[in-house]
Amino acid sequence: MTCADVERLADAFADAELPAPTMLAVARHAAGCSTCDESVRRLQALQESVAQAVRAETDALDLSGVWPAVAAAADRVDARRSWSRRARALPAALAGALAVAAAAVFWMQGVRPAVESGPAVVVSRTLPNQAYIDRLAGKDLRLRREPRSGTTIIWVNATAGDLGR
Amino acid sequence: MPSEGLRAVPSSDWELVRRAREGDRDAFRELVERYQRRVASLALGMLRSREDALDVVQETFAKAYQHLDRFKGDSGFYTWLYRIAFNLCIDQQRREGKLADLRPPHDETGSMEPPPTVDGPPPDEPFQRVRSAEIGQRLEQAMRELTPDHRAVILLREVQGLSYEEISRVLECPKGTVMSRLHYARRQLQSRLRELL
Repeated sequence: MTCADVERLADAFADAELPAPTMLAVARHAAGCSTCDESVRRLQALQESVAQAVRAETDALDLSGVWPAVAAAADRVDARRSWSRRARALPAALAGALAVAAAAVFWMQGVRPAVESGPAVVVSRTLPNQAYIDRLAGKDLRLRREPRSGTTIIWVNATAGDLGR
Repeated sequence: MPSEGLRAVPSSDWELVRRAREGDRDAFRELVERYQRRVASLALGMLRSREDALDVVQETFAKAYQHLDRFKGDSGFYTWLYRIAFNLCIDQQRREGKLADLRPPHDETGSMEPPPTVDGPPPDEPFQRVRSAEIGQRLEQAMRELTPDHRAVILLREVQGLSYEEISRVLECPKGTVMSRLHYARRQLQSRLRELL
């Protein structure tokens, strides 16, 4: 370790940013070299002076107003977030409301008694098994839906009707 | 019954951040109170104005609250805060047009003629308070003459005690740049305080 090495490493030495063996080598050299020792001491004195000067200034600052101001800013952030969330949720809510309204309209049209003011046009569509269903009408029927397969099973009480006919 | 000697273990920054993200305002307040003075010392050192420094402190924490979900936890919370504060200080100086006056007169790696210095008191001067006051005044002037980048590196190292690695994260520059800026800034300050330190 030479004086030039110490000059090059002085900052990192004063900041304890060197590997331990290098720290030790610089310290050993400085202990036996008054010029390098003085150089390191001046650096450390500068560090202390800067720290003391800035800390003394900062200690004199009144920070009591910081939290109220930050809390007010945080309130504004929260309010903006809340509106933003509502705005994002609006399309889905609107679609849901429309769907409910449409369902309600269809349901109302389906259950309300027909008050016809004129001749009604009835559109009927005959299903392939309509005749069979008509024959079951009024019989003792039970339905069961298999949850896994989705199959609907219809039990018919044969004694109660005339299926065989 | 708890003993008087028992003290509550302070929550970690990360724990407070997690709670603050979940809407716990008290947790965020604890973070503010934990770091407001340190952020203030950086802002005051950078801006040399109490009013501007207080504005920056408030804005730093307001921004931190707003972007709390962006804090990943891969560096210290204070490192993240300092980065916000440093950027706000730079913005503030840009607004005031101060940056143009603070360019380095020479390349930071090059040598520079020591600036003219005022004669200090004799070495045996017994009035330490006068001496300290003069050191303070000279330091104040010398800090003003540093560029924001050099001033920041000095403040983060000497006042905040950050490591080179942490400073490089705050200033978003390589560790080698931190070292060269620190070396340059210290030599500048030393040349201004030659007779006093």
